[in-house]
Amino acid sequence: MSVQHMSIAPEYVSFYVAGRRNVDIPVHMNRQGIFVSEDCVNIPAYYWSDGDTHVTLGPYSEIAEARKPDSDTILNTPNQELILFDANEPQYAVAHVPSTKTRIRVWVDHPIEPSNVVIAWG
Amino acid sequence: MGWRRCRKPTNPRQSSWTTWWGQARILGRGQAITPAQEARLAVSTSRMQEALRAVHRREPNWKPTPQACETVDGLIRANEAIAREATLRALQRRLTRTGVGPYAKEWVAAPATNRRLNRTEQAEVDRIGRTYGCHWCGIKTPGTPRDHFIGDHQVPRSIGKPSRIYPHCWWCKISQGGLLSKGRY
Ligand SMILES: [Zn+2]
Repeated sequence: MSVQHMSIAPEYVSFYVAGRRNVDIPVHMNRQGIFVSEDCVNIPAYYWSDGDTHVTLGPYSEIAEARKPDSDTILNTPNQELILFDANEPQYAVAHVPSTKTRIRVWVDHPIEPSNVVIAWG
Repeated sequence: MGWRRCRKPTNPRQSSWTTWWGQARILGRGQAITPAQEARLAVSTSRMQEALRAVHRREPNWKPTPQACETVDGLIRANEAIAREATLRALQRRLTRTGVGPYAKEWVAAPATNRRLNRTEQAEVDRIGRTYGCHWCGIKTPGTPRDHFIGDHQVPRSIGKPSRIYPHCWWCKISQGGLLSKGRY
């Protein structure tokens, strides 16, 4: 399983990782950052008008991040896949995972407006 | 003469803050409050109450997420968070999820191509935001690290060709994306 790299500019300044379609996107009105539920991780992105957000997605064994992740959660992945998408783009990337529950670790280089995001599964 | 008593809606049986001539009492502790803070507190309280009234007209039992605060600024932020949450709740019930919000006044013409905003256009989005507030919730502070309001295409690019850009705060932008996504993907 290889690591995928992409540059995106989400209109709604966040993008989502989920294991299936039509999930509720977790949001909070009194705090900022990465929001998680059992079905979805909502990750903030750089303001679309100012630049791209560079995203790396891959298995944990192939991700070289030494520091503690900014989010570490278990996601339902009933179809043994992970989908990266946002409100406008149905699919930035898909990764096949071995289980119906998948550990997701996320690193961001800024808590609210990151330009680099690393997502490791497994 | 006595305390001016304002009830927090999250706990209607207890007043969690009161103010009295340069003093605020929050969770039982007295704190100095400046005239500027008192003015901001009054605005945020009134905005919160207005937003809650709008929700309760349709959903009398709806409650916002409980907020904890120990300082005057924290209380202002809590009021703003409740106002945002209640406003969005009311709008979700009332408006199309992707529409122009009730605080929309002026806008910036959307570029004909899919390009980013230039510095002049962004400055205009920021000016409109600081004057009239986020077009959905009316908050005049965008909540972004560099203090820019986020341009919101209307109509959304996923639905049609946008002609206008309105200022959005960070929370409304994120929430609207979540709502829009749920209906599509
Ligand atoms: Zn807003």
